[in-house]
Amino acid sequence: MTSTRPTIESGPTDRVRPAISLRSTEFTLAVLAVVAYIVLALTTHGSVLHADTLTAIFQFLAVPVVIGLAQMVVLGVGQMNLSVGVVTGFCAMVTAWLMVDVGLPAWLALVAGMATGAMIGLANGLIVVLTRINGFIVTLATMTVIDGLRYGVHGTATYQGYSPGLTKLGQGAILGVPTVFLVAVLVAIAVAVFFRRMAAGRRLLASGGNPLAARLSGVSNDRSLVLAHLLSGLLAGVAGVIVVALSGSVNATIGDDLLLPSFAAPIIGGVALAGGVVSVVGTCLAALIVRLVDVAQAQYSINPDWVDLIVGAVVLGAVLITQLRGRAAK
Amino acid sequence: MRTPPLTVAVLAIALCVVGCSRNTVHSDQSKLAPGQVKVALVPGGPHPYFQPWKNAMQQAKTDFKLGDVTFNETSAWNQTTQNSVLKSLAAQGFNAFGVFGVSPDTINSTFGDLRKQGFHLASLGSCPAGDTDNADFCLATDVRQAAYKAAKSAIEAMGGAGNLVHLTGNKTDSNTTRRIQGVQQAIDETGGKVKLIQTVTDIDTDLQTAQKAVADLIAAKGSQINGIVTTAYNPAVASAAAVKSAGLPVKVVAIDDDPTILGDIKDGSVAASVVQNPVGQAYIGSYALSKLAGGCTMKTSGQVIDSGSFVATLDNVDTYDTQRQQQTSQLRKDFDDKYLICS
Amino acid sequence: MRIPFWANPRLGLLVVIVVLVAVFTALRPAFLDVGLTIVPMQSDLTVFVVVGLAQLAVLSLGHMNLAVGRMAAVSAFASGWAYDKLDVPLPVGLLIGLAVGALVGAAAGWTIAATGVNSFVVTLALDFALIGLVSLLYSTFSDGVAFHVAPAGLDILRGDTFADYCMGDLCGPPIPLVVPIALVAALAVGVFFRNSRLGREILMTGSNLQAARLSGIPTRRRVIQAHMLSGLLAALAGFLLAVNNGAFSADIGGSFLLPSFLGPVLGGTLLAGGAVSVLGTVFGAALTEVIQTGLNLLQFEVEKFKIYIGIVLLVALSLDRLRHVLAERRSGGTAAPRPAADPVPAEHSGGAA
Repeated sequence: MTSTRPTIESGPTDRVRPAISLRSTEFTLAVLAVVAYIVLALTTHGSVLHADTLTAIFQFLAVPVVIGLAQMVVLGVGQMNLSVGVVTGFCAMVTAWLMVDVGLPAWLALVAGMATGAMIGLANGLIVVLTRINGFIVTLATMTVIDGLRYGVHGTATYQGYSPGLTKLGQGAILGVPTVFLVAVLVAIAVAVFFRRMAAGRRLLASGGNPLAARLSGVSNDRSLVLAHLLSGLLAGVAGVIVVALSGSVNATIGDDLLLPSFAAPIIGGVALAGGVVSVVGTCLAALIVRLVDVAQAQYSINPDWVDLIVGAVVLGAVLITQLRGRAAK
Repeated sequence: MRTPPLTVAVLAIALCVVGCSRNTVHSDQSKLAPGQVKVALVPGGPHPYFQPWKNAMQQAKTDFKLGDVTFNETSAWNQTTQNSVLKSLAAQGFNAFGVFGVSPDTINSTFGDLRKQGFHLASLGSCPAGDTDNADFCLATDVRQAAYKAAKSAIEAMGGAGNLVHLTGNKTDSNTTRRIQGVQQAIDETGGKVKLIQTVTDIDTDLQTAQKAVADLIAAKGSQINGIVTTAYNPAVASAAAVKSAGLPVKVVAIDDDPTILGDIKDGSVAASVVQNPVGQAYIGSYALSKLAGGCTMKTSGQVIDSGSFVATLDNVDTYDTQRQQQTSQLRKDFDDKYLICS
Repeated sequence: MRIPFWANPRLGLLVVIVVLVAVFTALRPAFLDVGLTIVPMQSDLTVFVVVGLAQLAVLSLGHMNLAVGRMAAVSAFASGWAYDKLDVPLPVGLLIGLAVGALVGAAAGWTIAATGVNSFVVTLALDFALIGLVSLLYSTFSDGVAFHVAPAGLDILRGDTFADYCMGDLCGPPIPLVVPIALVAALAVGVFFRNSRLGREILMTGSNLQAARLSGIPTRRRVIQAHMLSGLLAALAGFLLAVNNGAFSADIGGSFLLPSFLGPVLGGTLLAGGAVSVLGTVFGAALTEVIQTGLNLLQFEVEKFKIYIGIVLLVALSLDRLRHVLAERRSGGTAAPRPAADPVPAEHSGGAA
């Protein structure tokens, strides 16, 4: 991914790539998403243009987008967070538990759920900085711990019917756009603003791109690491409360299928594993493409055995095209 | 420096060829008094289905005066972990095991190992794949039969015609293959009146994944679908909720009787649920294991016994459990009369 | 950079392992039960060591192999198919499996080298593709999702230890017959990265691609070869698991991904590439196995079990880290830089000796 690494000469502002420019990964992904959608629309006799289908597509896009961003933030400092999936599940369970068993009002439970995520993220960050153990291993260990806590909340049973008002809001729409998707978009904008406009965001990327240079120019790499993990935990918490609001029922399995998608979205979206580069738009578009594959599976009734094969091919194809375009441009 | 282990291995094998003998371990199956029998129930991992095992097991301990009982769900749906859990429990002094094997295809080898070491084994809830069972007996739901019953109920609720969808679990599990066969059998019996338009697998890992799959399915084919038969827990919960919120006239048949599912039956979002008999499996399983440890033998080793499956609907939601308790008593009688030989 | 002998990371791990064994034995004497604890632990360990080595082979490049489990599954399918349909003897099936694994690995390596796409993405995509393929293969060529075959020798390899073989009164140690296979693999990989030119060139490619290219190393070919080795070792791990399980089934490799990283990374192999530690990988895998077995013996409920396994892992690592920091103070080194930016100590390369 040499083309996505910034050179040292380029200023920190260049590390957040422009939203959409021709020849960028984002542009390719956008074209791919549009083409895929048009093909879907034509081959399913317009079924995916139907309001219900659109609602389903975007409702279940919210969590992949937010969880992809949660991973992207730590990738930005050159770390990984293996605990994003279980943190999402744990926050969802805590939120439901607060409403059902403790009896807190929904809004307070939501805030508490997100705060739980942030606290776990803070703990991850502090452990990484204090012990100097690789974030990959730290979050692998905390993932196991939180997995246990997630079961501890309510065993294997399912919480249901916690707050009709919240579920109605979560499954509802504003001007035809699903509420949860709007939340995800707002979160994405906030993350983009953080990396583009705020000093803390730029310092974070500077630490990720070149820790030595960052330290020499007065950036505290430790602070960047803690902040990145904290934000990652917070975003996972947001994903957790989105699940609670959207699904109307949660149990301890929530989050089990989120780990690989959390990596897939940012990496397909052009975020470098080595750190220093993030792409909010790319991450969101990649999540959309993965979502369209799900939709295609349901629309075409593809033999389940072939689905994974196709997902693999599509992911690889998307990246290959990006790479070839990049080369052709040179 | 590079070769010693290799040399040693080659040498050992060579020596063996020449003259060493292979020891065979003989299991010593001494008779145990009930108070010496320590039963461990080991499910494949945490799942609502196994929760009734805990109480049933304690009941069995009191009723049959067993030495000790334990319930260990740390296998986390990983066969290697489960093998390790079983052996750790054996090392801790447990001598009879009721096991829901994570992988029906490989659990038989584990049973073989443990039996060779003199332990008593029951496969509970799920039988090993293939024709043989290295455990003393298998007390489980006939999953193919249960899936058949579920599909039958769905077809009946649909009025005998229309389009059916089957949602189920992990496709690399041979129980899933059996469930798919069971549903197909029910479909075939309608002679073309009911069509299976899709089988969706691998959506039991995570409730959200199941919800997403159901939402996509309903968005794509909601108007064509007349019935959904689910043979895994998360898809059942997700389908009930999705059909309820979409207000579609789709008939959902669920599995098991977790409080969530029972609630769905009562509010009408689930037409029927095929409930199994986990209590009977744990209670009668512990009973038979204690008998075997006390010197009884199975008439047919590896005997497969159906623990029963029942269709719960709105009409019998309060009474199906009586039927199930009768089945459990019958099972105990069958063990005494038909399956066990006690001298 | 001279560090005292007690600051050697592998030694640190060994000490942590010994301490944990002592603690678990004190709490549960059954930890030293030969038939029920020691022997099964060794059998499990052989699989996880080889899985760790499969990941290590590409970590040497700074790459990852997320398809390690599915490569094992495809190879196990090939072996199982050969036993079932061709009735080949045990070693031939193993060779067929290894060849398939190496081939799939090489294909992954070729895709990465030819396109320059991140290894994470390529192997992730490959993983998805192989999940589908394995399932299709089993449903086409077997009656279900497994081959229940027992070629001559499989059961012996699976169940026997050297203690079962006696000459008069002299019996072997209670070590399962599969252990030497993993040992040979570990030694071979160690020698490969430490002593062979090819292995060293792979490490150079991993530590600095540009420099390696400029010094005339065919880096593309090295990338392909490292991935091929990874596929080969994944196949061996799949075979060992199939032997331990007693069947060649579609779910082989399903739980390989995290353990594959755990062993090498705990053992001091850098994710960034350029340095590997084979001995560390063996100890890393052993540490996780000891924790797992010890906690099993303590019989926690599922939620507590998971919480403790994470905490024990963190504490063990922190202690090891503390020892490392103390060592650096002692040797008058400066404060440790951020781990990701750690300079590659020469001692890290090829620690299997």
